[in-house]
Amino acid sequence: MIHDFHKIGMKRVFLFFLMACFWFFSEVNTSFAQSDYPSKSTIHTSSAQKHSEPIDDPVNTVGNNENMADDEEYDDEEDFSEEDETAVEIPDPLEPWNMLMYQFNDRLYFWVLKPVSQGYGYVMPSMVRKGIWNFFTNLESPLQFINCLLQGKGSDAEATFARFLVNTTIGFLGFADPASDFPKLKKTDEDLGQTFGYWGIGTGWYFTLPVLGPSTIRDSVGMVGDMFLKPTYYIRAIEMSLGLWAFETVNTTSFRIGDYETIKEAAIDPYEAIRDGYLQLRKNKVAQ
Amino acid sequence: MKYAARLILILGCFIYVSPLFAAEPMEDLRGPVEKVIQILQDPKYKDKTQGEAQRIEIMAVIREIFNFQEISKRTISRQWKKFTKEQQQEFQDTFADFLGHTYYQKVRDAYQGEKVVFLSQEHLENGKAVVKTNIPRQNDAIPLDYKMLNGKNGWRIYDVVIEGVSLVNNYRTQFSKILGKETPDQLIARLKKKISEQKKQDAST
Repeated sequence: MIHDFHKIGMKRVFLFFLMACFWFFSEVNTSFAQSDYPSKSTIHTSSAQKHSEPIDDPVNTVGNNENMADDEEYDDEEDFSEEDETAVEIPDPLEPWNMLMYQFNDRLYFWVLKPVSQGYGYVMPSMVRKGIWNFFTNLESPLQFINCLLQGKGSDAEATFARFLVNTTIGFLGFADPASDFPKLKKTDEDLGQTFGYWGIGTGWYFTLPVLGPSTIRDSVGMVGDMFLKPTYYIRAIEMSLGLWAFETVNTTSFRIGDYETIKEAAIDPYEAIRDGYLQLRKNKVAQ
Repeated sequence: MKYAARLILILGCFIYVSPLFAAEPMEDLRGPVEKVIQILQDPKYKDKTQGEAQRIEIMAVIREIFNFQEISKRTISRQWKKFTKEQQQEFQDTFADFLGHTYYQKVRDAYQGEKVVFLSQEHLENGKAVVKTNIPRQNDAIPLDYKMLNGKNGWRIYDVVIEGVSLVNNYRTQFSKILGKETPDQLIARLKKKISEQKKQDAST
């Protein structure tokens, strides 16, 4: 058994290494593309407009003078400066792969995950589901704790630690969440991807993972690293470990049915909406 | 008498000027948000066949508080100049209609008496402000920030930020990709197609 475990461990270390190499490659590539000419995928947002302006201007001045005056107020460069701060522009050279995985995950959600989670939510009382949610959240405490430390967030690390102690003991192994009655023991939401971001490391390319969904190269590497900090990883039988993870996913999804549909229906281009949403969300989390 | 006249004059100034000072973004937002919640809870709309009337009533409030012109400009961003005045107007109306349809249906189906909690307001430069709110849910709360711009009609929303994701930025990414390949008219047509799909879906449920 120990031998098997060692083998699986080595495989994951190798995977981690492989991803890190890929990430490094994409980062170098991205920073090169940004410092020089905009790469192919960003062309329509930056250079294309600049070239089109001279062609458009005569039309505007001849066509409607009022319009021109009206536009001047808003189209000053500085008016868009604020957007540029919050906008996230990351090239998407892996788009063909990402698109394929997006479609795969979309079907997986509608054909498998949604019906299963709905059925599960129908059978299981929400009290029980909430308890299971709490249990899995509590198990993530070591991960939260280490990442808080890695980001130098001492008080958050302390809060996570105290939270873990309270919920594991008084909270019946984490099934209850008495710690949330204390505002000081606030929940943290950190992971290795955010830690890398906190250290100033770029995201690398956008990268959609099968089953796991939207990610970037940096966050995927972080995810592999985070695996080592989850207690479920140290369960010897990999089937058990995967089974628990699937169960957790179904349980979590049972609270979130409809969220994905909302995002998808509110979008004109769902792939792009999810890509941008993910990148904005992560950027915001890193900044926190 | 002299003093009394002076006092009246000063008081008069305050009364006259006070609306200008009193207009705080959070206060301007609170009214319409509560109005929408009230319409959502209105028992006369319990019947689903009244959905269209409810949507129109909500949309009237939404049009008052949202600055759709600013939202349209920001989502199209630098391409806005490429649009003719007619296209700009049409885009603005269609986009407002699209957002109204999309979010009305979602909010109506998901609304279960949640209250919007107003957390704080923060003034930014250039007559802008952020009002932070959140909507408590079962396990968590959804942070919802309203970015507002001060104009002659008071504070109006120009962006909504849900869990750190700006809607304007999100639509801008989508539209800029589409406008990289298609004309403004084609983009407007896409929006219209989406609205008619929503209407069809709404009618079938």
